[in-house]
Amino acid sequence: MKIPLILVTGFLGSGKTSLLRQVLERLGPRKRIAIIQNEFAPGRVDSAELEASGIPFHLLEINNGSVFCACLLDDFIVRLAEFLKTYQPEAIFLEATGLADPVSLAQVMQAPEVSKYLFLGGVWTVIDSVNFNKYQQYVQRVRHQVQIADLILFNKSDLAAPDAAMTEQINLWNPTAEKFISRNGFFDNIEESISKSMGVHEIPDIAGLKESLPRPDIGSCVIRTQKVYTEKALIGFHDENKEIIYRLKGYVRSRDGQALLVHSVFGRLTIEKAAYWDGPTEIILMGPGIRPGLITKEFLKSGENA
Amino acid sequence: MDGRERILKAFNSEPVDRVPWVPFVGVHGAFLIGKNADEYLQSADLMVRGIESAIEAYQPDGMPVCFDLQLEAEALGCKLAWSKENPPAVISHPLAGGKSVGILPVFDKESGRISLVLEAAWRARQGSPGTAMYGLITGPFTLALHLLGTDIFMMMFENPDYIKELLSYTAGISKNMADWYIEAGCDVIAVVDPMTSQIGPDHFEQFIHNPVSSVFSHIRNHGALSSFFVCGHAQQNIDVMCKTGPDNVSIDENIPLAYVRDICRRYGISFGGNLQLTLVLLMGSPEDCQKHALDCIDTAGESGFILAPGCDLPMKTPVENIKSVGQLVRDNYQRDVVRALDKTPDEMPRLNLGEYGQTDKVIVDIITLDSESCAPCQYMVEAVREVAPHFEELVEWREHSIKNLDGVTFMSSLFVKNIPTICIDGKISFVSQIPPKQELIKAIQKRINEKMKLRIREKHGKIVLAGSPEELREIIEKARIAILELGAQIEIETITAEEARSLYGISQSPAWINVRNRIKSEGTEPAVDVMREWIKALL
Repeated sequence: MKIPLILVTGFLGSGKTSLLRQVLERLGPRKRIAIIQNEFAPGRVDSAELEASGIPFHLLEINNGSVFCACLLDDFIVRLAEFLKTYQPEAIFLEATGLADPVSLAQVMQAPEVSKYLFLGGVWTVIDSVNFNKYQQYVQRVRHQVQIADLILFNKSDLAAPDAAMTEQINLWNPTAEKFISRNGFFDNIEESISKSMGVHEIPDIAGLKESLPRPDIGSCVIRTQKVYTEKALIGFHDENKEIIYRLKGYVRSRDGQALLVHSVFGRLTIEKAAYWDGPTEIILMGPGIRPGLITKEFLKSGENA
Repeated sequence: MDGRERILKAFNSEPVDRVPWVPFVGVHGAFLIGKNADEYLQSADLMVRGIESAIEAYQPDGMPVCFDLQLEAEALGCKLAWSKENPPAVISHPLAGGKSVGILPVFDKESGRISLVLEAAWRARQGSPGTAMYGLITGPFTLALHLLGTDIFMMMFENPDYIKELLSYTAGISKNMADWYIEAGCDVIAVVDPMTSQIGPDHFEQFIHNPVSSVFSHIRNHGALSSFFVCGHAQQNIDVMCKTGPDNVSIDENIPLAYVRDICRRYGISFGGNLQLTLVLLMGSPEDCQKHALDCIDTAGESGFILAPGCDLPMKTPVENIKSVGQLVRDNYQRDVVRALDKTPDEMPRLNLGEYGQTDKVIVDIITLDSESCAPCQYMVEAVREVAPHFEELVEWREHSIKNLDGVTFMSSLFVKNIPTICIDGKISFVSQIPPKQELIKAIQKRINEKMKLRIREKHGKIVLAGSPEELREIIEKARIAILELGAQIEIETITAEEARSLYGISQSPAWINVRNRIKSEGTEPAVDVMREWIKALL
């Protein structure tokens, strides 16, 4: 059965380590956890702090030559495949460092050598409530991290509660993500969010037996393309594939240069204008039987060259 | 027109005979010559060998000398962590906390690895005069980030004057590097500044515009062409990047090519990009690469455009993938093939070709785009048409055009990937190249001989006689007489009735069993559907 990979993003010092410690405390005693991080990046998750917690986990470092380019990861694919075979983790948390492009990292996970073992369970973005207003003006990546998230944490709430302007800004950038206020990485819905990203929510809740029931084998796919799409084409693609798509989320470029926010959960598709997206078409799909190669081909066929 | 001329013209948006193509070979050069990235980037000899190997394998129009954005940072005191499969990473920042640039060492040609990269540039230039050489320099903002670390973002807010001073200093380093690359013979100076994708247009104008503009003016005044490379989500900055006055803007897959095309044309500058590195060039097939390259060309148009990946090629990018892009670029007809195949459904039905190679005749299939409109296809069909009569009735030939669905089905059933291709009895025999007449005759003759041999050997069989020795004594004698009378060479095998029961399922003895060898294949592993047909014949 495939295992979930949860992408944890957030700018430098936002509290990714604290969040992972909270997750480890809850999940570590019953699951084999792996954490992947960039070896040389500044502001990375502090593995020493996590180790000090005494909760066991396996660490894999991406020995990538560049803190800003995720494209040079071919050797990493081989190492990751080996790592998965050796340690057989049951959940992986991939920390996308402050400046790295998280979607490129997620795409690397689609290499056949590793995609047969894992699926993208969720994208969690941690926001530093104290410094967000400063950073977001300067650093474009902060916005991208917020836009692709399906769970956003307003961390450091003990030092600064998220103000109205910040909340409004985040809601404009990403109206569909779940948002929680957290303190030292802890938030009220943490257990449920972990289960959700582990794919447990995809099966019926029968007498609290969720985790012991077999889970349908879930696949995921990240697609980034220069193609442009009409609403009709998107609806057509979605309808054709709704049996295998549990969740779809992303931004799609249309021919007139506009961007659309596309969101679907269990066949309920919404498409609306996305005012703040200035990248190419970029979508994340998750569901049973999703094979990245095939679904990518189908999605590309639905689009047109710009 | 050689590659260098083509690049120079494309940079100036002048007409070219075809789209120029520049695979950004950095540490991939090490892979081509069987070396590790760390030793490669520290040896002029290895870099020259890598560049030469890439030029020989890919026949590009342009080639970077060295793709290592840590080169200047190392020379200025940043510590590096080396990797065997990637460029090195900066792991210390000498200006951390906002120290003065005055503490940095003198930057000259002897600093760090600069002299060996310049030597590689000069030697590569001399060795490949028809290829445009790109000298890549770390852009002012990215170099500043290496020197100062990620404090740079907060200091842009808190101490903008310091950041401006630092960027003015790093722009000076970029100018030095540009001068040295130009002296070594580089045609294009590419200012690679990926970190600018992290900031918005307002801050770009506030901090980046002046230093980078001064670098581009400097390059122009020294007679070279310039390119502004940026990767990442930098769409918001394309307009302000154009305002800094480069001759070309080069981008990666994060930015829609059509968007860059429209803005660059408005400013009258050329543009390049944006082949996808990870999913297509690294993980895709040659067919995926060709399809994607064609999409880029179709979107960009053929004027003022350079086809290139968005960044340094991953070290182990499959060689065949990069070659396939070059083939598409150089060969108009290959583009027609890719277009024709793109119109077909993804999942093609496969024909059962179990009968191929089983009939007496030899079947020659030519898979073409269309022999009436495609010259290579026409010559290939003519070659077969001319040769077939030599074998009289023994050879039958057919053309399968992939403009028809039947042709595509046939192509996928035979696992043919290139057009035109000749298959003899269902086996791919000549790919893309038109075989000389004698070679084609030889190949067909070889197949006829194989079939003859098979048939001769098929005639060999044996007679199995089952029963007790007493029961068989007389039968064996009579069988020998019969074999002698026919002049056949057939052996007689005897087995006891008990063994025969389990092996051949006989119920009474004595019994006579004819065993005939039917050789269905030799030296190959047949497909399962072919095996299924053979098995049916036994049921």
